[in-house]
Amino acid sequence: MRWHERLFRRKRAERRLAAELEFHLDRKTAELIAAGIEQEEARRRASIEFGSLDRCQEECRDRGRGHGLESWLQDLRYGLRQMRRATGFTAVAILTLALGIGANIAIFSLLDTVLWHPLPYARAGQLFRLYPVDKTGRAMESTSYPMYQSWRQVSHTFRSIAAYKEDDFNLAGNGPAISAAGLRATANLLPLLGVQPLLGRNFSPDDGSQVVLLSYGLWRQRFAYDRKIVGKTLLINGQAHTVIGVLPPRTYFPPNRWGNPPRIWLPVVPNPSRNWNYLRVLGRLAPGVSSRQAAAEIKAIAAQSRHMESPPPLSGVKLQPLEKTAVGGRGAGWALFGAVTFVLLIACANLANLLLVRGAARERELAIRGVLGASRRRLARQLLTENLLLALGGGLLGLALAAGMLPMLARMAPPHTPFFARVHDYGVHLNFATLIFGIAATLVSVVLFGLAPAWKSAQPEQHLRSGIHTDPLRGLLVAGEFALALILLAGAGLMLRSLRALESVQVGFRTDHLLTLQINPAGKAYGAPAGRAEIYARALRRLRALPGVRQAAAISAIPLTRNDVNNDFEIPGAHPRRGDADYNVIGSGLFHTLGVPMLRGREFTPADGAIAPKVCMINQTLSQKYWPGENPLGRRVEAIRIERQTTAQGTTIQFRQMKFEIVGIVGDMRQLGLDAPPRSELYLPYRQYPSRGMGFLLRTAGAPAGMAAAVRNAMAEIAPEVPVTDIVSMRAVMAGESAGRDFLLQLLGAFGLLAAALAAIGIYGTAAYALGRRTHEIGIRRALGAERNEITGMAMKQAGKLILPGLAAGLAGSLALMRLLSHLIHGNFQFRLYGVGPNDPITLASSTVVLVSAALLAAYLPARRAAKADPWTALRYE
Amino acid sequence: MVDDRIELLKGTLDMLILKAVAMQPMHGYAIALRLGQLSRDFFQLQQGTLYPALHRLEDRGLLRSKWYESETGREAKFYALTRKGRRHLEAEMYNWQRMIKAVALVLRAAD
Repeated sequence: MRWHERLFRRKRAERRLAAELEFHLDRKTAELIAAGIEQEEARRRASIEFGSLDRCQEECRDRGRGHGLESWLQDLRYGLRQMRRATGFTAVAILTLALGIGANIAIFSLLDTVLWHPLPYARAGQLFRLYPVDKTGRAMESTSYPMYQSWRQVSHTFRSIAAYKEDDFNLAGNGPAISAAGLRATANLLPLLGVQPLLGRNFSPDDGSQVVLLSYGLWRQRFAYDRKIVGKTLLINGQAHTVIGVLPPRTYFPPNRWGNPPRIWLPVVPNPSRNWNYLRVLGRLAPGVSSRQAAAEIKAIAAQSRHMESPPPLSGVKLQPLEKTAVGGRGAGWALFGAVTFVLLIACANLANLLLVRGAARERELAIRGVLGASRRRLARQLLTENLLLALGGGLLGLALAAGMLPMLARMAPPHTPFFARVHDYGVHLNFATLIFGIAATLVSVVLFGLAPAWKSAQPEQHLRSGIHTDPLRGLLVAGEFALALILLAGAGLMLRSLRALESVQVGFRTDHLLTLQINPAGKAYGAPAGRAEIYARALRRLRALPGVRQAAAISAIPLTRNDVNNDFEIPGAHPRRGDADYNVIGSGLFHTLGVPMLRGREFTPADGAIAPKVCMINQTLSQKYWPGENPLGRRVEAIRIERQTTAQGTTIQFRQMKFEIVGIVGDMRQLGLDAPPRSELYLPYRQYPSRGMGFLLRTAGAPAGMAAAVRNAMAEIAPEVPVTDIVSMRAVMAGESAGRDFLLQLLGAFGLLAAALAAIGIYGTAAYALGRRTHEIGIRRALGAERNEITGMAMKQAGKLILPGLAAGLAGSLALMRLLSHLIHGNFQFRLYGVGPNDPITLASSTVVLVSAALLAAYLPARRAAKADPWTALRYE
Repeated sequence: MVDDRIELLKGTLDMLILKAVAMQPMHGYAIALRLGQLSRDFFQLQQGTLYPALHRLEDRGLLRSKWYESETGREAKFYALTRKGRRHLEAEMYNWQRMIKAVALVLRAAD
């Protein structure tokens, strides 16, 4: 029978039932009239005796007939009526659920974009980075051009293998010179990623090195969508390059470690040396090939090539999905995911609690229906239908909340962290997977909170017998909710403490009134070392002369932002030793400007020039590592320096033996970032080893940011062709470094507070319900002379009994979980706990105080209302 | 008093309805009247109890129903016993009699 036919039959049966009952009523009325009662009165009496026509009809309907669609629709109508009747309950329930589900969908979308599908390429799962592994088992970022070629030519498991090198380029002509992040890429990189140029063409293998592709953003900003740009000539690093194309908007490439996406794309310049490891290698697997097969094949290729030339002695090749290398901070993502899952669990527990309260209020109704013949199954189904309605409402509202939250999240995400760069640039979207997750979350919620009350409500006899009964399930729910909220709050608290500890880290130098800037000279005048030394000296002189600048100094890598090359050195002697250090090129007076203590010896002076004896300075860490308990002043250090000279003919590479004498030892400062402890640092004077770029540090009299325009003008005065970038105060650098962390912390904190609020709602509901059931008893107590505060005290004591087990479980849980987490995410840059242990007593104590106060307040409100109630009213109740 | 009646009804209502209908097909109102008369007003059936029971018995195949013109000329739903219903009634009555006897024996012995 089709459903509409069944519906039709159903309709007829309804009419028949109504007619049957109507007949009975009429006969009864007639009988009463015959007995001498007025018609109106007779009808009224008959109706009273008959009871509710509706209810009788319903009970008759319930008699095992009407399964399937009709009865489900009937349940639905009944459910909607119930929801309308209990507006407050419905609103709180749907809102609770919507908050839980909404937060989940929003964070799931965010994490899906950032962590799980960070690459907007077709079949991104086929993309792998290839890392050569050296004899000691260490995977290296880069490999040589010959090695790349051998992989590429022999491999069958990869459909295509490409190589690239990240670099910064100086772009001049058509406006002021700028420094832009860029990429040198092999011709097959863009096809491998599936990117087609918007204008012009891609690189071809016979292009040579003097061609360039521009990013859409650069094309828009600098060339104002000039469609005739293709074929024009640009000066890049001082050399003419022909523009061959423009990439489409939203061309994505994993940003470099400062969060900058590439804007200038140049061809890779092949270097035949097998020692020159400069290329990162990226491959796309052929269809149907597993990463393990590919790794085995590449390893075999690497082993064969070992015989061809002396180095490199590779022990293997490591493959890693590009999706995994594209982002750090996976631990952070999982922590966030855990936090929202907690919120959802709390929301569900809350709802279960609310439903139990409501189920209790409807006990009589359900029990009567049960006695009159409605089956348990039918009642349970009715309740489940109502829960489904609530879940549907909550799910839809949650989806709407998430959709509203996502643009906000994207706006809030700090742009300059690799973790969030893509979110900030491209936004987050509710995707298909998210929708499925939303549906799953909703269904899980329904099952979680729907089963308990339905099961309980389906035992009507119990409800009829006992008026008041305690309920262990509700206590458990409240305790669980409380414990989860406490764990979440404690987690957020730990992160906060960690961040505060990080802020007070001793970075080793004075960070106030410090302005930083970076210059990147390129072009004919700066191809030779002497030309670069000259411009650095001129810049320093000019900057020192600026009004408002007290001191100025130069260092190739601005502290707290980056380090320069890490290189080997040798300590000659009877037993030569090898070591390694970060090499920094600096000017005179740097440590005085920064306020870094001189431990021994002297700083560089202008006398340490190109033809003077070669000198270096080292930091305390290096000194203690290689000369523990000794005085390294006057010792010599030897190193091979690879020097690249860019001239009009192209780039030449030279290996130069360097020897320098240690003339000074300085205190440590943090070079890589706030949470990276000091490393071995070696400092060389720029007059002897002029680096390719230089940073400047100005100690200002007033606010450093206010000097930016004056600094830019001064630099334009002395060298208009040299781009000046990153004019920021050191404090802003430090703030930017913690921006990603701050954002995560804000999110976690928000979830912690949400969890606390939900837990408070749960406690409020339970307390209000418990007191409501005792209205009569409280009335008697009051009538017998109990004071109001005694009643309040009694209520609070009961609330305490609810809270205490949750508190104990929460404390134990957060101790265990935090210890586990600190193991799991150890070494994770974004999310490592810094300067605070996982069982930090202050954090635990303060989150306990916050949560307990919220809970007590939630319990106090209904308690006060109960105590205030007029005893006589209370006694008349029931 | 009311509670006692309900307790009694819970076990025996079905049997009483079947018995009332066994004599001749009748509609709900007549069943209520008949049971009241026969029990000398001891059973005053609430309609909220009677009609669900009638529908339940019909679903179980113990009663069948048909719409006929009633004594007042208006259409009413008449219930009649099925063969299965008659067998069921006989079995129930037999059990009931045995129980009555057993209870009586116990009560007499207690005197």
